[in-house]
Parts: sequence; C-alpha cells; structure tokens
Amino acid sequence: MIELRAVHKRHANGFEALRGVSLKVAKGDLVAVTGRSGAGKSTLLRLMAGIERATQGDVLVNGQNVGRLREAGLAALRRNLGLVFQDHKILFSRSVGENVALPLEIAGVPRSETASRVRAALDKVGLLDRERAAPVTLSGGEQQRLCIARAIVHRPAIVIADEPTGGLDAEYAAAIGGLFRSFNQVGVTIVVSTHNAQEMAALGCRVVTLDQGRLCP
Amino acid sequence: MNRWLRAHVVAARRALQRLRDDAWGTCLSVVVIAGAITLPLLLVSLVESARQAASRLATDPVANVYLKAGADEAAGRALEKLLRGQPGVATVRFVSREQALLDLRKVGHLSELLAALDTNPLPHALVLRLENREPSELAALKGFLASQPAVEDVSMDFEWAERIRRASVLLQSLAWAVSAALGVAVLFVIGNTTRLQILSQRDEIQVCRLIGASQAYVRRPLLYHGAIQGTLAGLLAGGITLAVMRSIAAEVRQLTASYGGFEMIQPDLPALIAVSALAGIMGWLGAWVSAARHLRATD
Ligand SMILES: Nc1ncnc2c1ncn2[C@@H]1O[C@H](COP(=O)(O)OP(=O)(O)OP(=O)(O)O)[C@@H](O)[C@H]1O
Ligand SMILES: [Mg+2]
Repeated sequence: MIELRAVHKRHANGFEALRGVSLKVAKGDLVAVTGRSGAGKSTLLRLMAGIERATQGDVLVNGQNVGRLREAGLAALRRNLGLVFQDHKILFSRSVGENVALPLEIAGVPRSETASRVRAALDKVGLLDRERAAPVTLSGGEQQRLCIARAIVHRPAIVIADEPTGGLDAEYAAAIGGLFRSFNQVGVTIVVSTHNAQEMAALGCRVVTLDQGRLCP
Repeated sequence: MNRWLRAHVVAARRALQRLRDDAWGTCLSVVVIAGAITLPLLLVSLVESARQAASRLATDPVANVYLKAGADEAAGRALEKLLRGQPGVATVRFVSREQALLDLRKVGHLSELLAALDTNPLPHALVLRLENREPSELAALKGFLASQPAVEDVSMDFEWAERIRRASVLLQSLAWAVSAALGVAVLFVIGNTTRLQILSQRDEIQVCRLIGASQAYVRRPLLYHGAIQGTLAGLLAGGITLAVMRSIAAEVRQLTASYGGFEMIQPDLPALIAVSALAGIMGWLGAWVSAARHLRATD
C-alpha cells in the first residue's frame, strides 16, 4: 500500500533529513513512526502524502510513484488520504463543522450528504456538540480531535497523522490512540508519528524508529 | 445534479458570499468597471447616431453656381463651356432664370407667393455634378468658381454630409480604440481584485491544496467572483448609457423638430445583454489570468 525504497531527502539548505529509508506499510497496517525531535518523522510523512518530493529513491502509494505525479495526480492522491498535520492547519474563519466538511466539499459530495457525514465524524471524536463552535474556542486537545475528524470524514483508505497526540496528557493521548486503533480495525491503513513509543506499542501497533534520518533496525 | 454542475454551483455560491461579505469593495470595483465600460458605449451610440444623421442629409455630389443678377445668358453659356473642361467636374447644366422660375412654380405651396411677384427674382444658374469628394479638391474648385467674375455664390450642400461622414468614421475608430484600451483596464481591475482575494484567502487555499483540492477547484470561485463583478458592471454601464442617451434624445428631438425630427440611436435589450455578457466574460478572463499568475505563489 505504501512503500519507500532507499529514500533520501535533502532540504534546500543542504540538510539531509532522511538518509536511505526503506519501509513497507501493508494494507490494514497500523504503523507508528517514533524518534526524537528532528529525527525526520514529519519529513517522512510529508513524502508519503506527496507534499514534498524525495531527492533520491522512490515513494509508492497505492502503486503510484508519488515523485512522478503531476499536479492533478497529486491532488487526486491526497483526496484519497486522510491527513493530520503537526501544525493542525485549521481554518479559523470557519466553524468546526465547516472545517470538517472541507474534504467532502473538495470531493464534490452533495450538501445533503455532507451534513450527516460531518456529524458522524464529529461524533467519533466526541465533538458533536461543538459543530457550530468557532475553532478558537476549542482546547488544544479538542483542536487535535477536530483534525482527526477532518482526516476521516471522507472515509479514506489510508490515514497519515503527524503527531496527533502531541502535547496531550497521557489520558487524552490514550483516547486518541484508541480512536486510531478502532479505525484500523475497520480496515483503514494508518501511519502515525509520535514521540511516545510505549503508548503506541501498548496499542499493539508496529513501531519503527527514526534516528537522524535513518531507520533503526 | 451531476458532479460538474454541483462543483460550479458550489463555486458560484462561494463567490456570491465573498462579494456580499465585502459589499463595499464590491460596489467600488463594480462602479469603476462600469465607468470604464460606459465611456466607449456612449461613444459608440453617439457615433452611430451621427452616422445615421449624415446618411439622411443630401449626399449627391452636386454644386449649384448662382450667377450675378446682372450676368446674362451668354455669360452663363460661356461659363458652362469653361467648366466643361474643368478637372473634377463630371457634367454641367445651365439653368436659365426662366427655367428656374418654372421649376419653382411646380413646388405647390410656393406658386401663390411667386404669383404675387411681378418680376423674376431668380438668377441664372449652373448645376455641376462633381466627380470627386476630397475636401481639399472641393475647396480648390469652390475657390475657382467663386473667382469667376459672373459668379455670385456657390453652394455645395453635400459638403456637410461628407464632413459628418468623415468625422464619424474617424470617431468610430476612436471609439474602438477607447473600447480596447478600457477593456484592458477592466481586465486589470478584475485581475487586481482577484489578486486581493487570493491574498486574503491564502491560508484557506493552502489548506485546501494540502488535502487534495485541484487547481481548478481553487480557481473556480475566483473566476465566478470576476465574472459576476463584470456582469454587474456591464448592467450598470448599460443602464447609465441608456439613461444618458434617453435624455440626449429628448433634447435632440426638440431641437430638430422643425427639420422633421431626428432620433438618436439607443441601445436595445439585446445590445444591453450582449454588453453585460461581454463584461462578464472579461471578468472571467481577468480573474483567470490573475489566478494563473498568483495561485502558483501559494503552492
Ligand atoms: N524545509 C526545511 N528546510 C531545512 N531543513 C528542514 C526543513 N524541514 C525540516 N528540516 C530539518 O529536517 C530535520 C527533520 O525535520 P522533521 O520535521 O522531519 O523532524 P520531526 O522528526 O518531525 O521532528 P519533531 O518531532 O520536532 O516534529 C530537522 O532537523 C529539521 O530542522
Ligand atoms: Mg514533526
């Protein structure tokens, strides 16, 4: 489903964030990418979503070579992914519900259908009662759950989540971990990055660790 | 509703919402664009009216040469012979004062008046048909005719029609040039509002692109934004032109009542629809060009 082959990523300033990473994520896997700050977790996830391009090696998603996709192909690929960004990317000019509706709007889902699917997604993350609220009125953890709702509302086959539990206390983090576990149980392939390896291992997921741009054996 | 149509309805709705959210800015740019459209529209209407007026004036290239009261028929015949050889003169016909009086008597309402006269007040005359309408040559010929000792007066009525015709041709090309220039100005105004839209929605555009919005998806509301402004401006410009032409037409009708009245050309409904549609297309185009240039920067 997702495959990285000897991937290198050198940033514009010459810094090499990934140095020969090879990784296979099969359909239905739940993979946690851990590592210290600056190890290259976000870079790895951005390569998978086609937000950045590898400078060497291939990134394959659903059999497509992401590095070779053109603008329209990349957009189509991302429409089929559920993405959670480390910096959230919430639109504060829209309500919580409107933020969650965004992927459906982009996919051209009819408005009649949108409303019920947004509510279903918000229900899953426990934010149903905040649908009309402004995102600024949400706590940090609630904002993170909003991002998860937005990532799953269009029922993607793959979810790529960059530190969805970052900055949360253990209890909240466990709740969100459980959420991913339940998505995974219905067949969604999931890649999450996290600082907290134990917590993910506890959920029974496969844990891979990055260290200075290399995968630890 | 199919997908394509739904995407357009969503985009149009979003554009309308943005126009409403910034009602003041929308009004301002619509008025500016309408101004740029009104000017050439008025010019074209006026030029077309002038052309129609010119076409109703005498356009026969005929000159009437009236001899002095003292000049006799022999002098007239001699002048006739002289003018036959003159370049630019196609035919010459001598009309004696007796003949002229007979002709005049045939004009019904004048016969009573003429009957009251005991002498013939008309001079001998020559009627010239000219070959050429060049103003400079006409002036030279007129000068030559007037310099003849037996000639009292020369009239070339068609000269006026010709002058108006020439002026209107000139004005017409001017109108087209002004239209083209202001068309470009409309593109720039719309292009600039589109650029501001992109700047103010930068975050939203970026997030949409990150989660899979295509270029077309992001561009579509901007295109509607431009097209709606253009169309509104076209309607406003049409309305202003119609109002101005109406008021001018009323004045002109009063002024020319004694000459049988003269109607100004006024833009009709199809013309107004065409102008609004054209302005809408310009808006769409302006937004497109601007989006193509500025969206890349947000990627
Ligand atoms: N655009 C960039 N230009 C230059 N260097 C970059 C760029 N993006 C990331 N880096 C560098 O690449 C390395 C890996 O960054 P990355 O964001 O992948 O780390 P991370 O593992 O996600 O860290 P964190 O846990 O803090 O989020 C870091 O040292 C960072 O400074
Ligand atoms: Mg990171």
